[in-house]
Amino acid sequence: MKRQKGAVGQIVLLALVLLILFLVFLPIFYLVIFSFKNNAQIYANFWALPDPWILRNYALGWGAIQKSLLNSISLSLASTVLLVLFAGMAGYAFARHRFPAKEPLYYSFLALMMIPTVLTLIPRYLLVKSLGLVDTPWVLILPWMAGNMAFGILLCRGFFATLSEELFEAGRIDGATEIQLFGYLAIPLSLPILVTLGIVHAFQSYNDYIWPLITINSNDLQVVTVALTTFNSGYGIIDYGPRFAGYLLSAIPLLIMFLFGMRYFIRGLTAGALKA
Amino acid sequence: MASDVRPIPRSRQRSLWGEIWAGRVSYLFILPALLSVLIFMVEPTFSGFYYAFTDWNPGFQEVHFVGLDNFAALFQDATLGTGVRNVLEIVVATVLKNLTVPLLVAELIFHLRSPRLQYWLRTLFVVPMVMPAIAVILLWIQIYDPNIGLLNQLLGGIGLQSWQHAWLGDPLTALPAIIFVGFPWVHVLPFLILLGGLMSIPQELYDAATVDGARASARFLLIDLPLLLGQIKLLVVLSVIEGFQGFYNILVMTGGGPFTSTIVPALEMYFAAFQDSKYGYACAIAFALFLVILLITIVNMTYLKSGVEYEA
Repeated sequence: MKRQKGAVGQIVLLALVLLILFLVFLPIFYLVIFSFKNNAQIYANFWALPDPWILRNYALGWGAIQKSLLNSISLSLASTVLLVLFAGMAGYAFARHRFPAKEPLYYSFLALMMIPTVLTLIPRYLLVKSLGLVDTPWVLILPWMAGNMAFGILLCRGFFATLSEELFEAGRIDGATEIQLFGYLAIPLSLPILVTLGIVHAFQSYNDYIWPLITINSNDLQVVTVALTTFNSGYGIIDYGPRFAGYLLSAIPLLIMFLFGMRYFIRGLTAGALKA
Repeated sequence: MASDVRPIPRSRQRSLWGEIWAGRVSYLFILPALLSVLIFMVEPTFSGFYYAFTDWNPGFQEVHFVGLDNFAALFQDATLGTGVRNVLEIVVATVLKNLTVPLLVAELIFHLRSPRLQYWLRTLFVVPMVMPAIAVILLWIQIYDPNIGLLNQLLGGIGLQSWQHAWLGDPLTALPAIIFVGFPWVHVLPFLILLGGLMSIPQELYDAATVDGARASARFLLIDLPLLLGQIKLLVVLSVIEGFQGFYNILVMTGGGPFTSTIVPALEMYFAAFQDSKYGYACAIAFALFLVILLITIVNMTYLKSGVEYEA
């Protein structure tokens, strides 16, 4: 009797979950189906499936955002590599070295995480303008990297502190320099945490909209988030189909990242919450 | 132990400079991080604080120190009043959105018995993250389109034509429409945090409660909620910060309009800087926002008591 009762409850739970899941994916279904329609089909019969399926929409959409998509990927990647390297180095030093002012410096880094982005947006813009970085790749790479540096140091230091000192002692006895110890010992051991940091950062920087909007004026250098909002004015595309195709295409890099490292993705998201 | 008290011979003691030199490699390790942060985070924070008290406008030749004039102007700005009302609505809504539905879904999945089902459902709810946030916003602009948008078509399809609106073009519906974006609000980060929190609750507590005859609602109120208080507190703080400083969704969807029905202080800051070139005034708004966020965060952290720690 109890087993039956439990089963009914489980089915109810599942039904509710699936209902909510359906609602979550409803806009995405709308997006996918309409990306294959042309305007005539949309106006003629909203609810019909595309007939025929207009594949040309994807060619148009891809043509429009191709440059900016590649920009997004490469700039995001560049800042991720730099972040992982520098945060790894700093985290390692804070975890395993001793030097004057170590504690105050570390806590100062942590304090940076309390600064809301709204406070630094305008002054940072004025700064890069005066540094002449506007409309260069560095105007995106460097601030992106700096923005997550404190979080990266927090993650890396936490990890490096868990390594046993004997490992490094053995290395020192064999005559390794500190830099060699870092490169050949610490880095390989810390790959999971570095990948986690990398994924969190790549995800955030890929999604950034306001900063590229205000610091990049040239179309060649613009990133995909901004490019998606200029379908009308920038590419003269007034059809909805190619636009929707563009939205989907812009998700592909994130999808690849998700498929490759889903557990890092999820681990990184929850680690990101500890930021606050 | 006796060896701990052995004095260090004079020759082994180092001065402060000696220590600094001995740690030179360490400083090298932290140098790139330190530089990047000094330039792109510390400098803007302090210079923003300084500019808030000036009237910097690229049109003028000089920057004048104007003391609290910017802040006085802030208080006299009529739009700001509307903006504050709007942003408070948004903040409350954000907190509710981040706490209710994610918790509901986390609870539903948590109570499923099959771990494989839990794993796959959790994965499915995380998948929507691969859509870039801006794409989601642009999609919802299409959903709200009065003619061929999903919402009006749906309403028409089930016979509720009278409910159809020009969602983003009507001052009465614009702000609710912006808040509604993302329905059903199973936001991924809160969902994962809450599910993780639920899964870390020891099973013994549930067993003991069942033995005592507690119903599901009692188990939820007396076990789940108290033990999730830490995560809930974190999510409240994050939601408040997000609600106060987020503005690009409004910028893209309505630009603050129609009229001032969707304007918020952060958006006003953006316009002050990039439309009116009033950088000093913009920094003053930024600084005021920062103070408000700081205040609320402090209140949140002290007022909401820490979660109950269970010692095994």
